[in-house]
Amino acid sequence: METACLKILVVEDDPDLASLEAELFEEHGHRVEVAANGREALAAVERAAPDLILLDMKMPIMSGREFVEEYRRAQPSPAPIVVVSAADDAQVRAAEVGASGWIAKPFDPDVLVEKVMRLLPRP
Amino acid sequence: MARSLTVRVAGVAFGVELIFAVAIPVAYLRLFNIERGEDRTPVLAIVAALYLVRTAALVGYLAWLLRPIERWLADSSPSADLTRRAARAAYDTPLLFPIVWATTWLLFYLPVTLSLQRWFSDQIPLSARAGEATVLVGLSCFTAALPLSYAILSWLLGPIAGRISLSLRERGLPLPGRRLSLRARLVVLSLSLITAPTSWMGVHAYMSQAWTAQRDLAARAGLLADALARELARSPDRAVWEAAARSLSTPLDLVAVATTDGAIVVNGDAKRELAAASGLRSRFARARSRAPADAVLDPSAQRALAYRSTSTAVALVISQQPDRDRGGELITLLLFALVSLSWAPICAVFLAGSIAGPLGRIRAVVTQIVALGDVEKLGRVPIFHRDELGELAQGVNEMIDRLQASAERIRRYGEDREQALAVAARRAAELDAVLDNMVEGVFACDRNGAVTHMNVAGLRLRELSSAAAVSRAPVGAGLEPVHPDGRPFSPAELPLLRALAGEVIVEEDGVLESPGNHRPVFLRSSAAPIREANGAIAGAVAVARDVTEVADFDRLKDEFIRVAAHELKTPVAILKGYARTLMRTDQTLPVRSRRMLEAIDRGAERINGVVEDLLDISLARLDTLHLSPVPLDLDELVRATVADVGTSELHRVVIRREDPAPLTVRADSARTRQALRNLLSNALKYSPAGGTIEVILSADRERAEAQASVRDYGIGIPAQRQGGIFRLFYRAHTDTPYDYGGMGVGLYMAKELIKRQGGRIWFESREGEGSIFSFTLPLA
Repeated sequence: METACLKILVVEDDPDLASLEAELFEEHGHRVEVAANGREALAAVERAAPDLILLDMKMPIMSGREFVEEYRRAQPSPAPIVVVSAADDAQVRAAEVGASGWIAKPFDPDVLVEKVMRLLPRP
Repeated sequence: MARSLTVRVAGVAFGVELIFAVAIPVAYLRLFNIERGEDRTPVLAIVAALYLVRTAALVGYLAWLLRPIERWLADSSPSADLTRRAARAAYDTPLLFPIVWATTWLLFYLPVTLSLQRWFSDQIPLSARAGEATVLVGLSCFTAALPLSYAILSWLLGPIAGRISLSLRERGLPLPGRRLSLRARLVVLSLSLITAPTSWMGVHAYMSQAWTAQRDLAARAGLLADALARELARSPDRAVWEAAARSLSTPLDLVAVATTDGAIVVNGDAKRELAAASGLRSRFARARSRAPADAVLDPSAQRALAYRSTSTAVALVISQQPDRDRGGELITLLLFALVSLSWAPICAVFLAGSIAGPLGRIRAVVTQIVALGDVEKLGRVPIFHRDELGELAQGVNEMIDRLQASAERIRRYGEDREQALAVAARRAAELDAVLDNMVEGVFACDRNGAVTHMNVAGLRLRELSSAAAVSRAPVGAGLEPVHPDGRPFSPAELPLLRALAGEVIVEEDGVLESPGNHRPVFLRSSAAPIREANGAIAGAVAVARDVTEVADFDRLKDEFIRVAAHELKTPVAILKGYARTLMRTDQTLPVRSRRMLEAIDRGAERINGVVEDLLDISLARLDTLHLSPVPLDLDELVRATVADVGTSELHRVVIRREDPAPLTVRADSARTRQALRNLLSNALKYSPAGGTIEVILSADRERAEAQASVRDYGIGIPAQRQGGIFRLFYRAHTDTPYDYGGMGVGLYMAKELIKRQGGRIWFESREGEGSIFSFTLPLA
């Protein structure tokens, strides 16, 4: 599945996991920006609007849920959000925040990429 | 005191007798017409001498009889044997001694009469008549002496016998001595009292009649003899004498003439008569030598002989008594006896006195029993005589014994009861102390469900005042307990009420909202019915332990597991992610590095499995499992799961349907698959290579449930290890050759998942033959 170069925002407090996710998408030719928490993510969104956001829910300083609320309030046309969560009820949480998709930790790298690709807006 | 009893008895007895002893001889001598002073003196001397000898002997005998009593009275602590002998003497002497005494009276006048016959043979009528009179006198003396001496001795010895009887009773000895019934005593005494005056009057009448007859006979013979003597004096002619004798003769009067030297010359019958009556002949010879004219009687007093001597001859007349009717005499005696019946009242008065004494003692004791009521202080009735009255007294004594024994029993029963009550109270206090020092709350209720007891811990749990412990409020009043999962208890679910229905409850958990600080109190309760001896339920008792701390700790542990598992997920994701990415992207990796990366991936996967299990456990434990039941086809789910489990080439999994209709159940797809997967993986794990595993699907439309069974023909589960098979962390094959590892989570989770979806799960297994695990799910 070939797609154009997209801008993806990875919001993840664990730097190792963040860089894994970044690498996976960069490997497919996308541009990835990493934010360590909700506040950084808000700042990143401010600088440049992403095409897709990979969002961890449990983070220090500002959680995923708080970020989504702020983000939605500020952005009239928010980018699709994929929740990456270790919580057993990840699906429920994703639905709560109105995410377009969800994936449970730990994930299979291929599955993650495939799932996200399916969600990406068609050019 | 030592001699006083014998002296007193002898003094009273012989003192009273003395009056009779003086009066009787005087009367006796008058009976025989011995009235001249010079005649009476020697007779009275003999009587007095006899009396003294007899009395001395009797007193000696009495003293000998009474000796045990004297010794008993003198002895301050008499032996049992002495007491027994004294009692025998006291009872027997009034019976025995009067017989001896009366017998001396019976015989007393025989020697006197013999003396009279010797000295006054020509004055008194002798032979049978005098003998009969003597016998009658003896009899009247005997019958008079017998009741008199009996009365005196009974009167004097009765009280002493009574005293000795009490002493015997204290020693528990039986009464000695002869028993003579009151009936026999009364009969003998009555006969005696009737006989004495009757025979006394009888002898008087008898003798006076004899005397009268003899006087008449002698006078008639004298008149005829005078008439004959006049004829003899007028003519000496024997023919005249014969004619005179013939004219004077009668059938009863024999008239004869004798010469002056005594030879019979007229009427030979007189010679024969005199020859036949030797007593008359000798008396006649003696009289004629002393006086020329007189009358003599023959010793039997049947004939009188009168003689008149003249100068030439002696006129003789022997007169005979006409035959008298002896029966008539007896009738006369009986008539006298009837007159003497008037003596019976005297006898009655006399006996009434002797009976009234002992009866009075009995009456006194009975009055005491009736009035006093205090049985302990009752004395015993002395037993005066060994007769019916004595037995009555003995009966009263036994009654008092019984009364005192039963009073004693009642008193002892009361004491025992008090003691038992004290013991019971002490035990109750001990029990209360034990209960109040228990950590567990203890509750008891009666059969109606009213609380009868609560210990201190129980009150504390319920945050009640001590007054509520015995309030008898209904069980569950003011309580709103809930199950650990939050469902409220219905009243029928309360352990105490279930125990009342006969159930035994062991360690069941409940939560109580504390009314004071609104903190939930976790209780672990056990309860059991209290049964009566016949098995009926009389109440119930429950023991509740506050396990809030344990529950809190448990919850903390579950929370820890959840957080820890959660935290592990990110590093596992990193491990897996990098390993896989590296393997996928770098095609130039050496084989060795690739194997290492694969090992890392597998390890991470295993960690992930453990993490998933731990998370599931914590969800189940914390009751936060989220299930989304939807209608789904069980058959399809089973096929997908079987495919997912990845049947190895070593095993074959067969799906068999017993119900061809669609099996649409209402269940959470992922969680149901997880449960089935756990069952399948167990079946695979414990089946030998090449084994077949069957999944059997069926439906029970009536119960509206579908059933899935996973059957293997593997090693099975030993019977002794089957009990806790669904318990968390339970591993049936631990420490056996079949221990293939694992945490003991699979069956626990399968049970929790099925249970939470409204299904049931169970199994059957036989060691060496295999197992079959089944579960049901509600049909959609």
